Amino acid sequence: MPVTTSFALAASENAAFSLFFQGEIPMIALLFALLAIATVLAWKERPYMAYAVFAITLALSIYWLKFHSTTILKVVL
Amino acid sequence: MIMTPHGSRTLNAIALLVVCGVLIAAYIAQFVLGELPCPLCLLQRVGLAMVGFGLCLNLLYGSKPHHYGIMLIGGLFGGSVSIRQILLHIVPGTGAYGSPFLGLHYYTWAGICFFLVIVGTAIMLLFEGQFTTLRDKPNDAKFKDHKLAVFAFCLMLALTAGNAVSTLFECGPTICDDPPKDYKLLRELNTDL
Repeated sequence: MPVTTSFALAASENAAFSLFFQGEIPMIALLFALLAIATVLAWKERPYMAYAVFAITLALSIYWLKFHSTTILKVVL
Repeated sequence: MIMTPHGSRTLNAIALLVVCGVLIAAYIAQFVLGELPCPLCLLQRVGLAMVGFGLCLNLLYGSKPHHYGIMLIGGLFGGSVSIRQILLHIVPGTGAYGSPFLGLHYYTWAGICFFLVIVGTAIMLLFEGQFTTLRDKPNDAKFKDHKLAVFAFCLMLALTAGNAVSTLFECGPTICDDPPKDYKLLRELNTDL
């Protein structure tokens, strides 16, 4: 990986961490990643860990649904 | 009517392929037609992935009521997001998101899909013959040499992981733009470079 790209990634990771403490993380991509991890855990014969990861995903998904359901609409009536 | 565990696994594999087909259609709309998914559209994909997770469990460990419960939770979550987006655009003059397909927008189709998931899962729960045990047995043979089940499982896993990557490129590590204009992470990386 070029040095400049790694710096850019590090900068975006720092931004992500600062946003985490402002309550703006988790991101939606994380939900898919967690579901993929849950599927792999189930495949690796860890069903109860898979259920735990699924429960976390569900909680984060509901957080995001609430976030997008309570933002101010850009609708002019 | 009696449903055997093998027959149930076949039906679950077909259902998982249908879920994969919907996710592939969403990818075609995104990459071929250039229609970037909005945050609510992405959450509907998450709902489909949750339904897919329940189906994957049925393929791995055999059909169990709690796997169908996971599917119902995924269907209810995805349906809630779809209804939220339908209601956003239900008032005349408030526009719509994306182009229509066969007269209905994607989120309306998603709502219909989630409704069908819930109905299909409820029907599958009626057949007790498919439940050999009520607990997951990790040491039992996975997939029971069901080739269609293996294929559907691998496809679903690839699509879920693929959506994680494409969503990361679209939204970056923060909140997605609403509506999205381009791939935010690529734009930010290009700006930083």
